[in-house]
Amino acid sequence: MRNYLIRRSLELIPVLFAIAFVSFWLVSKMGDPFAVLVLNPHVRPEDIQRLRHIWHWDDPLVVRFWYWLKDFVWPRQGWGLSTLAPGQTALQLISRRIPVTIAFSSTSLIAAIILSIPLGVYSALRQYSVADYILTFFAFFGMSMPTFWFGIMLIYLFAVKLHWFPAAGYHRAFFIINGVPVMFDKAPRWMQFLDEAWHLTLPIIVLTVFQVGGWLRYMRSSMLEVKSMDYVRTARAKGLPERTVIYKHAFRNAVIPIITLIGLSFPGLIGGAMITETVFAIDGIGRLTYNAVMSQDVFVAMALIMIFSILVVIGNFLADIFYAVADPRIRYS
Amino acid sequence: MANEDYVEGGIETSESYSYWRKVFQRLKKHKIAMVSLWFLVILILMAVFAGPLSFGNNPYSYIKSVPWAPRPELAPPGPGHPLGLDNMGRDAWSRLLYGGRVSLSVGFICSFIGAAVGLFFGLISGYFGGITDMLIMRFTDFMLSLPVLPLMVVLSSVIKGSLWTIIFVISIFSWMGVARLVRGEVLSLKEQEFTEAARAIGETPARIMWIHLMPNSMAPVIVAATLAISGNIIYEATLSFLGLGIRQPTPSWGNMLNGAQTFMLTAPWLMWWPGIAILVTTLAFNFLGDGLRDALDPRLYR
Repeated sequence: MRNYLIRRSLELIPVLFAIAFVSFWLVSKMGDPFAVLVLNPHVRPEDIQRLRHIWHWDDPLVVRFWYWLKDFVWPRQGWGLSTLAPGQTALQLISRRIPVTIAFSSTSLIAAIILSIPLGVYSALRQYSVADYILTFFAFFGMSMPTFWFGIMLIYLFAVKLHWFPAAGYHRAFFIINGVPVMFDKAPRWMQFLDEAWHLTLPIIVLTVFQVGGWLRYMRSSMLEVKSMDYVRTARAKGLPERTVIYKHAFRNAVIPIITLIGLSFPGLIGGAMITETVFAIDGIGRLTYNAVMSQDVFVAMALIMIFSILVVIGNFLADIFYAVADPRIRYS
Repeated sequence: MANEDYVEGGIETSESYSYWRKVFQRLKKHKIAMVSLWFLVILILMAVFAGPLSFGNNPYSYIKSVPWAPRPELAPPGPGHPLGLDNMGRDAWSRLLYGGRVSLSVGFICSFIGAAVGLFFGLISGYFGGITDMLIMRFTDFMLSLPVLPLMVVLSSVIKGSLWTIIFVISIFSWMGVARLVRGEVLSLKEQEFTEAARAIGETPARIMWIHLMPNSMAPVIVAATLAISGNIIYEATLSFLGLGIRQPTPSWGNMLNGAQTFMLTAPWLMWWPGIAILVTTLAFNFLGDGLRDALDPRLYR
């Protein structure tokens, strides 16, 4: 097991390296970050040349990639050209934006797991019942729903029409406590938390529905497959109670492939989070990516793609390890 | 001549003919898949005959005035304009029809390209094995571990432009599933007698793959490609919604929703129909794919 872990983590390095190079190459094709300066009458052409040189923009792609990688690992200060404030590095900006993204996407990930596994099992145990048909229909609904439109519809219904939830953002600017306005940062911690939870309810619903459908279907078919296995019949033939047969023999085997599926759906989760943030105007890294691409902010976009890739690769890695732990039949040497 | 006793075409044709007939008969029993199939046929016909169906309007022209609203921009539905007018004073119904053309073609073409590329890589990888297999599968795994949507967004902002750019951007990320499926099929097929027999009579690898392995690994590919259509339609809609896919003035279901949030209060009817169109289309493709899976593989009662 330890050797497997070590080998698996060593394998991550070339993958990350390849992803870094491909995304660097792609993003550097996005536009010239110095083009803005050309339009500025206060900046002399020599200065632009100098800046290009300082940022290695006049070097060949591979050299530039090396410097960029170095800057990514040991960041140096940014500049006032982009979304970045003067003296702020791309990583600093991202680290300020990343908590909300992680908070709401991991909440919805957990909610989706908690919902889809029991519902999938239930659906399989009561195959062709009314409940199974309803669950199947909802699963297909979730799989087919375009995330952004679902978000817009929820905003229309729950924010615009019913006023139950806010339409945008992830916290209010200030609270009124005893008639005195108090800035969000200065408010008590529990008030901050409740307010964020209230703002993030709709986004979490959107992202959960996005994930639940496919997993529910997968859990259902995995359970159906296991249910017809010989060892389940054997367990029944031994006279074990039905509960034991289902939960000890069938369920434990049926749930293992789901782990891989969850690991594989990390890229989808990131995409979903990106759309959700854009629709609900949440200032996380998904919306930051969209804004960076739209304003051709090359440096921020590069760092973000890299962060996303690292998250995906780590997700797959964790799923593999969980899989190895959960399935004792697999021997890693 | 759909007669099973009609054997003039040789045993092979007759058998493969009856195989697909059986598949279709099984599919016919799957009610919801058949409903979806008919619905999709109607939808495709509507997209094909978008011109005659749009009541003399066209999706690009500005309507100068309508009698029931002070301004043509964001006018509510009325006679001749069943879905109202959009923020540029264009007929929403005809944009929905023409948008369906774009969205459906993107879905179909991307899925076809994805299946073709996936078949190619899967066949080669499974048949040759060894280092070829390792390289292709590593590349497939690599592609599967990319953050797809952020990369699509970057890619479509790098190569801005036409329908074909979007098709290219989506197709790049839609072949990996098929490649893995086909590889798995080929790994088991190539151990069977008929492949060995083909090798024994000296057929070339290319011919074996094309004549023997590809048709036999087609069933899961068809299912995956059908399901992929709905995914591709959603990708196109999402990119167009973000303003990076199909560009104005060409309509697509996604870019019709591009400004929908802005007009949520003044013209909510504009955001309903394109979204419903996307939803029911992807739903139909998902149901059809599910029905096809059952029909093609009767051993699995999923």
